[in-house]
Amino acid sequence: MNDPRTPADDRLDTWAAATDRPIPTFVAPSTRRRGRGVAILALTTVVVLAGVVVAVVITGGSPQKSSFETAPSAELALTAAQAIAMAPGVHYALSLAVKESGFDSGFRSTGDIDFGGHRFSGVADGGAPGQSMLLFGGPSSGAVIDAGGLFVKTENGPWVAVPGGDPQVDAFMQPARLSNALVAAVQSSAIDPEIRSARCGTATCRQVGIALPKPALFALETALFGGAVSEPPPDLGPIVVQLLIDPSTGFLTGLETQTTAGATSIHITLGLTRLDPAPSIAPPLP
Amino acid sequence: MTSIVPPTGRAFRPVRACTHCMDHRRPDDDRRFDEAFRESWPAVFRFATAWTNDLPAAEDIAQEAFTRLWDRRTSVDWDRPIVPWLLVVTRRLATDRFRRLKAPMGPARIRDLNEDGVASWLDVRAAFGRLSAKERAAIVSVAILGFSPDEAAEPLGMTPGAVRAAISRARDKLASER
Repeated sequence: MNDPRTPADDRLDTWAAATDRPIPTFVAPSTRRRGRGVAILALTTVVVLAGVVVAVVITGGSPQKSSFETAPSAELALTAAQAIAMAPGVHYALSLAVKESGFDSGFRSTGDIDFGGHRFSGVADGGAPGQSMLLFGGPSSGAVIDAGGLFVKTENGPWVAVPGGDPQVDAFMQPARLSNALVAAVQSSAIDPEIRSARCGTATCRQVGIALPKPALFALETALFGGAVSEPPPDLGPIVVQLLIDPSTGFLTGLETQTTAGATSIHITLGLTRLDPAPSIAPPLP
Repeated sequence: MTSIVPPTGRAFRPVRACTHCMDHRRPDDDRRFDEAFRESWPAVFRFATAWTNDLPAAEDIAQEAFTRLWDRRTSVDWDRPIVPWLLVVTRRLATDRFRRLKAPMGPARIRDLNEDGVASWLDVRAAFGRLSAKERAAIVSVAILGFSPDEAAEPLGMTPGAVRAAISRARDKLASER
């Protein structure tokens, strides 16, 4: 059994050396809850942002778009949330960065949603080379297609059909459910009444600020993800979302929010483009 | 809530918990857990690394696997090998986490590597990145963790024949320059 060594053996030796690391201290479950809660919070925040912004984009495509410059902020936000069920489709680009105790992690995703066709296609990675995806823990990249069935691809692996679908993806595909949850959240939120403008590229945009209170966040989590969600951390800071809307088109041109939970900070940016007609999304497997 | 079902067979057999006691911890449970953690961490961490090809993610998954063991420490039969059960849990955490889009995990805790360590890891990570997750896990289980293909089959969720085939493919890919 003295087979000659090959480059594979050398690489296995290198891999073994690189993974020969000191045994860490076991972190008891009670000290890990908060980080998980923060991640859930981040996910919910993303959903909030996505829903509200999608709604704003949709409203921007309506015949009343000229009123964007003067519409009261609260009315604009609420109408936007109610309008979700009318969306044809969107393209999104999301960036989420979390800094905890000096360590960076993140999540970056782009994709298309076809609300009418109940279809979704997106890719994601950790936001930096080799960095695992914050919201999914293990792999560093992946892709999801929901088109007549749920299909997932992890890193360089093959597409895999996931029997039975997934309730979280389904939530994105149910505009009425998302709309109802967001309307309730917006009604519970403090909306900056001031009509403000800000630069967005070469244009001047309408800026709308929304502050989401903790109970509204928890109610939104529960509505979207069921009863298994945990309450937001007690040291969670205010969640204030700044939307930038191009008044000439009603389209969102930028969004940013930053919140904290103790020493953890979360920074999110999201951009959306309204797609009409809806994108064509086909299943990757027959 | 995901139900982690221990593998069948000889490797792991939980004992029935004391259902009428307020505190049914056995005196040795915490000590045995500590011993198991120290002895099994390298294998669990490497197995998680093989599945994910990502050191911070592997640390987080390994911690989560031992958390599952911690939660069950009062019902574990410590006289039987615990590693196979931990590897099954690790594999499920590493694969099902994304494929089934479970609840999100917390930020990974990144520990420092020195410059040489970073360079070595980036180089070999690229080579291992050309393998599928199953091929990585199979070759690591046998060539580094020391399992036979038959022993590795259950933790990998594959047949022994599939393990051998995956190892063969992995060796070919690792031996090639690109």
